[in-house]
Amino acid sequence: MPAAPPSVELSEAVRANRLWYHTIELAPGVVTPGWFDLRPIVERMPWPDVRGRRCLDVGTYDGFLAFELERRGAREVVATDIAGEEDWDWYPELRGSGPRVLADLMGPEKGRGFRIAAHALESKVQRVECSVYDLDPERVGEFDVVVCGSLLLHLRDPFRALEAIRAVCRGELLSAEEVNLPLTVAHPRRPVAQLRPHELQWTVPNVAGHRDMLRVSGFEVQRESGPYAIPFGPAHPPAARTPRALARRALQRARLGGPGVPTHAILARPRV
Amino acid sequence: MPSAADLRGLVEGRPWYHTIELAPGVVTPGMFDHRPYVERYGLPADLTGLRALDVGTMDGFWAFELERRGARVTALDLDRPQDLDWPPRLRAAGEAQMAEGAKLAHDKGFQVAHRALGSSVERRVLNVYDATPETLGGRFDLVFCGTVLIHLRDPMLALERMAGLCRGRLVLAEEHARRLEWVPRAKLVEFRGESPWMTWWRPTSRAWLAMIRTAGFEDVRRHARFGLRFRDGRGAVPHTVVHARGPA
Repeated sequence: MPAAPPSVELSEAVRANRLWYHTIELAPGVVTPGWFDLRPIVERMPWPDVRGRRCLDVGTYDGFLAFELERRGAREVVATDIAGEEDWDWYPELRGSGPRVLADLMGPEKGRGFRIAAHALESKVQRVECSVYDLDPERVGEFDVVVCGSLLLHLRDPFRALEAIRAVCRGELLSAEEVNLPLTVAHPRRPVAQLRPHELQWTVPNVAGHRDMLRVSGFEVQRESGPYAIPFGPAHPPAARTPRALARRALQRARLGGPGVPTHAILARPRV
Repeated sequence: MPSAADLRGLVEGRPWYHTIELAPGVVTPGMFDHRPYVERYGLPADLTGLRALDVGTMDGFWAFELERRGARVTALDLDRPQDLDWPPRLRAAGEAQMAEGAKLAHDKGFQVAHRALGSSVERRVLNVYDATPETLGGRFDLVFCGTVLIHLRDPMLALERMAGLCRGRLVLAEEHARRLEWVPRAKLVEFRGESPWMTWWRPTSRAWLAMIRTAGFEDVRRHARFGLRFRDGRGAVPHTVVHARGPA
C-alpha cells in the first residue's frame, strides 16, 4: 500500500486536534480551523525589524505569532506558554472545576496544536513552558524583540506580567491587546478598563489604557496601530444577538470595518 | 500613660493620616478626619467578644474604633517602603523619599496612639497578600478594609485573602471613579499608575461590587456612597462603603 501523501496525514492530525486557537496555513490547502484568524491583520501590527534577532512570543498557544517572527527572519525564537490549564488566573469559585472544563474544551494535551504546526512548518521555534509571571533572564535569557498578543486581558495582575516582560526585554516589545471600543471612543485620553472577571478576562482597557499599562510598567511607545479587528475563525462560537451586542457590532463595523476582536498594537521600548 | 503635655509633644512634628482624639484636647492633625463619617460605615454597634481585622491600619483609627465597640482587634500594616507596590519607575525614588521622610513610620503614629489610648490592638507587620488564617491564628468575625486596595497592584489577590480570613462580615470602604460612576451596567476602572498618591486602580462602585463578589464574598451590597473631605477642606474623595458576608 502506498504511503499516504503528507498532506493527508497532516489533515488528519489537524482534524484530530480538539481545539485550534489560531488559524494557520500549514501547507497548501491545509489550514487549521482556529478561533481567531490573524492572517488578515498581521501586517497591521507595527512590527520591528526582527532579522537576525533573538525573539520571544509570550503566551504562544498554537504559535501563530512565533512562526510569524521566524518567517520575518528572526535568528532565534522562543515561545512560552503555561504548562497546564490550572495555571490560568482562576478566581476562587472556578479554581477547582475550571481547569477540567477547559481541558475538556481544548483537549488534554497542552501544546499539541503548536507541535503539529511546528512540525508541518519545519519550524525551529523552541516552546518553553513558563508563565509570563516567571519570565526571568536567568531562566530564558534576554530578547531583542518580545511579542505578546491577547494575553494581558486574561491576567489578574497584568502589571506584574509586564514587569516580568520588561526584565527579559532588551530591545522592543510588540504588545497587541484587545481593547474596549466604546470606552476608546468615549475616553480618548483617559486610561480606563472594563472588568470582565467572569469570562476569565479580567481587564480589557481602552486604547489610552493599553498605552498607560505599558508606560507605567516601564516602556515608552514607539509606534502604534489604530484599532483593528481580529476576525473570528471558523471554530469561534457565534456571537450573541442581544440588542447591546448588535449595537456594539454596529459601532465596530463603523470604526473597524468588520466583526472580530477589537485590538490595538503598540511597539514600545523599555525606558530608563 | 504620658501626660497631656508630653502627648502634645509626641503628636507634633509627625505626619498623621488619621485624626484621633488621644486625650481630652489632644487630637492628631490627620490628612483625613473620619470622625464625622463613622456612622456612614454601618459598623455593628456591639462587637463584644468578636474577633476583628483592620487591613492597612496606618495610625489605627479604625482598629481603635473596632476595639471601642468591644472587638479583639488585629491590625495589619507594612513598615518598609520596599514592601509597597511601586510602579517600576517610581520604585527607587519613592523608596528613598519614603525612607528619608519616614512617611511610612506610621508604626510610630500608631504606637503613640496605642499607648495614649491604652489600647490592646495587636499590630502585625504583614502584607495582606500573605495574610491567611495560618499566619493570623484563624479567621475573623469582622474584616475591615479602608482605602487600601486602590494602592495595590493586585487588589483581587488581596480581596481573595480577605475572603479567606472572613467568617462573618466584610466592611470595605474605597475610593471610586466619580467620572465613570454614571455609566450603566459596565464594571469600569480607571488606571492611575504613577499618580503621586501611588494609586493603581480607581474602580466605579459597581466594579468594586463585582470584584468583591469575584473574590468569593456573598450578599455583596453597597452600603453608602459619599465624599470624604480632607481635614483641611481642600476637596473630597468619592467614597464607596460595601458590606458583604464571608464565603460560606
